Amino acid sequence: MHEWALAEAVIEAAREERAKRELKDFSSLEVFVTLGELRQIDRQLFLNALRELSKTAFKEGVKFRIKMEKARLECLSCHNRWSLKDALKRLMPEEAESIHFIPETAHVYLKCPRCQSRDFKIVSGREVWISRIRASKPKGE
Amino acid sequence: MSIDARLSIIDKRLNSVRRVIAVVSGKGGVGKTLVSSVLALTMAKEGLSVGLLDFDFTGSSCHIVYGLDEIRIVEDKGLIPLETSGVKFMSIEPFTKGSPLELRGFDVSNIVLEIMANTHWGGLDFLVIDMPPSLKEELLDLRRFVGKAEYLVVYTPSKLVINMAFRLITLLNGSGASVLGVVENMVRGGLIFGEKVERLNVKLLARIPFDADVEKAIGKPKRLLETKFASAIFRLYETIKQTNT
Ligand SMILES: Nc1ncnc2c1ncn2[C@@H]1O[C@H](COP(=O)(O)OP(=O)(O)OP(=O)(O)O)[C@@H](O)[C@H]1O
Ligand SMILES: [Mg+2]
Ligand SMILES: [Zn+2]
Repeated sequence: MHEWALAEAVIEAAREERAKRELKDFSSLEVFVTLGELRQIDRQLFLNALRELSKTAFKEGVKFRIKMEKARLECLSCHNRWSLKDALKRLMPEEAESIHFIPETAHVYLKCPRCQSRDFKIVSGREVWISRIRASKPKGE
Repeated sequence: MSIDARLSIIDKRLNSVRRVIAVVSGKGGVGKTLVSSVLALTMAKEGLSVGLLDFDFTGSSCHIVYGLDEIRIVEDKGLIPLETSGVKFMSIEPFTKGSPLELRGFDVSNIVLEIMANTHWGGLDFLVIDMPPSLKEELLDLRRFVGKAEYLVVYTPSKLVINMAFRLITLLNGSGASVLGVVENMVRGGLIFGEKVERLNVKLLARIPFDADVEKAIGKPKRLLETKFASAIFRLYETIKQTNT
């Protein structure tokens, strides 16, 4: 699992955003991260990695708020929209792992339940993204 | 607000990679895969640390040149390329296992980002990228995310191919991308360095003869290095080494 690499990317993006917004004097930083279902991320591993990386990346306290996003797929042949339910769990471990690393390989291992097409669009549940960063000023300012 | 976490990390992943050489052509079937695979082999043999990245997601084939049937990518805080014949190798192949992959443009862009953001190359003298034909996502995204990429344009002596090379070089030059030079492949006769390409002021780095023996050596890296094809690639390598950008 590459939770660590994804966490590194989140930390790097958060640092850039902090620099861009010139967030300097604050007592705490809250980073809201959304994890797509297709990534099959181990939430605890991911959180641990974020915390570990934060120690060197930020001198202030940082809190991470993690939200999961359900995957929705849309067939480009018949326009059917569907959610995964337990489709990922029914895959061979290797297949699920391929999707974890490169979600687009879902085109090999999943298909439209209505027309069996593999020509579909991943509408949601793919990305790892930062939806919000909130900085609190130190008290007394 | 929505920040794609992958964008910030790509530069960092390529921090210790000295040069990135993208082997491109516009037109298909001119020898990009063979040139990039053998170029990487040659560099490794010369003692450099080199990576080869197969960027052709629907038609990955570098693993065939190297004779790898069962590739496993190791995972350690990200994706660790496979070591083969001294080359650090990365491809989508271990994740698709030879199955056809139905990709739309946005899928292709996502894969580019995913691989660039999560692969740990470590320190490299050269990262060689085998690009697919066409001037679409893979090329536009590489240009966008990997500013230090240098483009090696392969063409064969045919008007149809040279016309595409011309278009490609115009695109690259027009956007400030660095064109390392052109390689004429499958040469059977005299110099046909396209007059059009010449006008674009690019360097002809190598001419590679058509080598009927190369087919038999595909899948056998050692044998590949003994072909006439590989001798021409060796000269190409020496030229590239001297063009220190
Ligand atoms: N100099 C050469 N002599 C003989 N055969 C060659 C030479 N260069 C390439 N070939 C052969 O030509 C065919 C096409 O080469 P290759 O697959 O490398 O092209 P490509 O540009 O990567 O194609 P694509 O655009 O589909 O990715 C292969 O069978 C390859 O072995
Ligand atoms: Mg190719
Ligand atoms: Zn359908």
